Amino acid sequence: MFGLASFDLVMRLIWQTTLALVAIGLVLMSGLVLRRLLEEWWDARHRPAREALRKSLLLSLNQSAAAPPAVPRGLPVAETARLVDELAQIVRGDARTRLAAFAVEAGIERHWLQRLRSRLTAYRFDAARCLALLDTERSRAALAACLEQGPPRLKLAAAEALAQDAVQAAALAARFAAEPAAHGRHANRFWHRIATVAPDALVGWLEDPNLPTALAIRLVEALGDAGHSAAANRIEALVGFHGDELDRAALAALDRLKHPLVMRAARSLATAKEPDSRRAALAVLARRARPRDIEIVQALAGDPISDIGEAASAILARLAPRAAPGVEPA
Amino acid sequence: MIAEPAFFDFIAYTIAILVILVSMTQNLLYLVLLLIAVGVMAGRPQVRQSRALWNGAVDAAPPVSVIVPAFNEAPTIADSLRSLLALEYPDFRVVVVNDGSTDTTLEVLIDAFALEPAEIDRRSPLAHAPLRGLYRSSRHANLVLVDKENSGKADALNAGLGQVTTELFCAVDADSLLEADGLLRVVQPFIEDPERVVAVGGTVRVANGCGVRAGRVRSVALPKKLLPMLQTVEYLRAFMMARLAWGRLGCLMIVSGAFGLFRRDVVIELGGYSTKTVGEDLELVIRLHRHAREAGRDYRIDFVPEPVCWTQVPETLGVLARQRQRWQRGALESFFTHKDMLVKRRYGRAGRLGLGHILLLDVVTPIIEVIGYILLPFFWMAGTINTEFFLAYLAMTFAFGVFISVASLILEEFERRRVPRAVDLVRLTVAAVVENFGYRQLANLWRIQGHWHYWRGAAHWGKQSRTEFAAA
Repeated sequence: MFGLASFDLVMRLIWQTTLALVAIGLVLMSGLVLRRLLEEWWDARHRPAREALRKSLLLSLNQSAAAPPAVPRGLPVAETARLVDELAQIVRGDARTRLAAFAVEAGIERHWLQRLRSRLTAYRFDAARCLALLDTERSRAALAACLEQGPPRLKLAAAEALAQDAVQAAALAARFAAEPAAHGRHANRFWHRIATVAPDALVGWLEDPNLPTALAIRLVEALGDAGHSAAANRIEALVGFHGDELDRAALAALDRLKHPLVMRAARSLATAKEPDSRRAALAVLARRARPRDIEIVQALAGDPISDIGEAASAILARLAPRAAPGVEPA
Repeated sequence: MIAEPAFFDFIAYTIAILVILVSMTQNLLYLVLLLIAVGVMAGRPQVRQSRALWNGAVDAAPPVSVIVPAFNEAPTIADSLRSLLALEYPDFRVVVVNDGSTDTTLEVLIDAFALEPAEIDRRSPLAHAPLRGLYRSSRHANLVLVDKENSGKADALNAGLGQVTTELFCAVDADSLLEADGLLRVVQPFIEDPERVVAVGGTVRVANGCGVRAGRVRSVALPKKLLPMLQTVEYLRAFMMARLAWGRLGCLMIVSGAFGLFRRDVVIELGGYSTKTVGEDLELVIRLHRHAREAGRDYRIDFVPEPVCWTQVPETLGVLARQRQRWQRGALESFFTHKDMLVKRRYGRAGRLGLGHILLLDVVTPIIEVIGYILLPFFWMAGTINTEFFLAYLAMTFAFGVFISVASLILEEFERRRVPRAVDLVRLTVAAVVENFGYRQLANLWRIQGHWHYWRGAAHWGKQSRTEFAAA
């Protein structure tokens, strides 16, 4: 019989632990089912009022003369806040201003401010995002307080919400530029917001030789994404001086801007030491190369790294028939 | 005590220990994946709503071509294409490849989308079966139909790639429906990290039971039949747990053929999809890892849990058996083609962990599990192994699977909440339990058949059948 005492102990531990895990899983799942049932009950109870409010609110948002609707009796403020957040995603201009006024009137600002003080970061993050709609003194003060304390993600969300105009955005950008936490990829949304609202504030920084490379990458990406073509010269000027990653970010940004300088950057990266930079240049050349670029593509066709050489040869084969007479393909 | 065991006892012990060791390793791996998936989910930023996503990405989203290989897809192809043409994405085109269908797929497409013959551009960077025609739609400027001779899904994808000029392409199964913002979500890693990302996979969900209108899933519901219901649990487990975790570990070895976004230049560099395997999606991703590692390239193959692609899963045992046998054969073909990656240092995690888990879960486990089903109850009844050992075996083989499936459902409920109602959660939980008693064993038998087909050298896809999506 297979059964050394110590072996039996291990076997018993295995099956008992497994059954305990299954039991824990099923209990947790039962809790989630119960939560769902409560939510369904809550939703069924408040849905008619919420839908009625949605209709009347949309009507009033679309007509400047219309008075904002009254919140139906018994509709919890959390439900109204959820509705306002949904609508905030789809309305623009005056309608957005009217929605913000309604939100303040309906006490939603208070609700979001309370959530901003929650212990749960997810709630606070969500509230910071929602408060971007309001732009009231109280909300600005609360968001400004978030800038002083809390996790970096919350600070960035608050800063993104506060960046409502060029002056504020420039001040926030200056503040966060000094924080290494805002130099990572998770800060992309914030820098994108700044690049949309106050792009000129960022363009000047690109000339600073002491600008940290990680931050420069964020700025270049944000300006490229925001479509700020006026930054193209400064972006192109960075190529070749601050490392391969920034070079590639600059190339990608110029490519997104569809700016003619992208070809100058591509030519520069085509001779880079880093293979990924040459690959990035090749990707641009594959789409944009003209017969006059044949020399640079020829050089890449002889690249010691096989995939680069082969890809360049393919471009060359395409360019060669169009090249000027006398130019021999590699 | 073990006292001078007879030869039979020695063999029985060896088998019993092997079975339980393999089960333990498999379950420990699942547990680690689950913990990683929980960590990834907890650390992810809040899922952005479609509108916010659009505003944030509209300028940065690169053009994408969606390639749809279609073979005998007449019942679902029109709905699938309508869903694709209604995608919320700034710049995309759809390339449908009719892979020599013998049903009315071509006629359905021509009628439904007002397609007209166009001149064929025969210059293609990849080899593929001859093209028979090229059609463009007078109604949809971004729709192209490539008609070619039949030669399999991989070849059809290669033919589609030949008609693609965009930097990125998305491979989508013809029996699948993409959510309107699916492409915009799956392209995010390419926007955030354009240099490194070479492929991104998205979540695939079971469409059986959902209401579909004009190519869109209008009402999400669970399947009414048991077999698709059990597959719903399988899909949730695979996508919510396994792929998320493998993606984080940097060794995601498969981007589902039903929905995956790739860099065109890289795939073309590799010679496109392999026509030598029925698991072309798995093989391509392994080759992407191999190629990048060999070139010393810093790369990422990512998985995004938000995008949802809905697919019809088999509703009959026969069709499901053929699908699973094919998947198994594809896994074995891919594994043995790239088995050297397992031991060579330069392939790093992708080789050791990525190929290693294919070896464990796809090559070894089905055989060992089936041996366990047959022999361990017999050993117990014969008194060769004691009750504690047998209980541990049952717990490892049956109960732990329940835990993993239920844990995946919990993860889904915490994070995505795409299960429509509380009663559906209950049904899914019951399915997560039931799945481990009968279905899992059957699936392992099919995988053994897949092994048999592989070693015998069978090389066909097997008969496919398609049903229409349910109307909303």
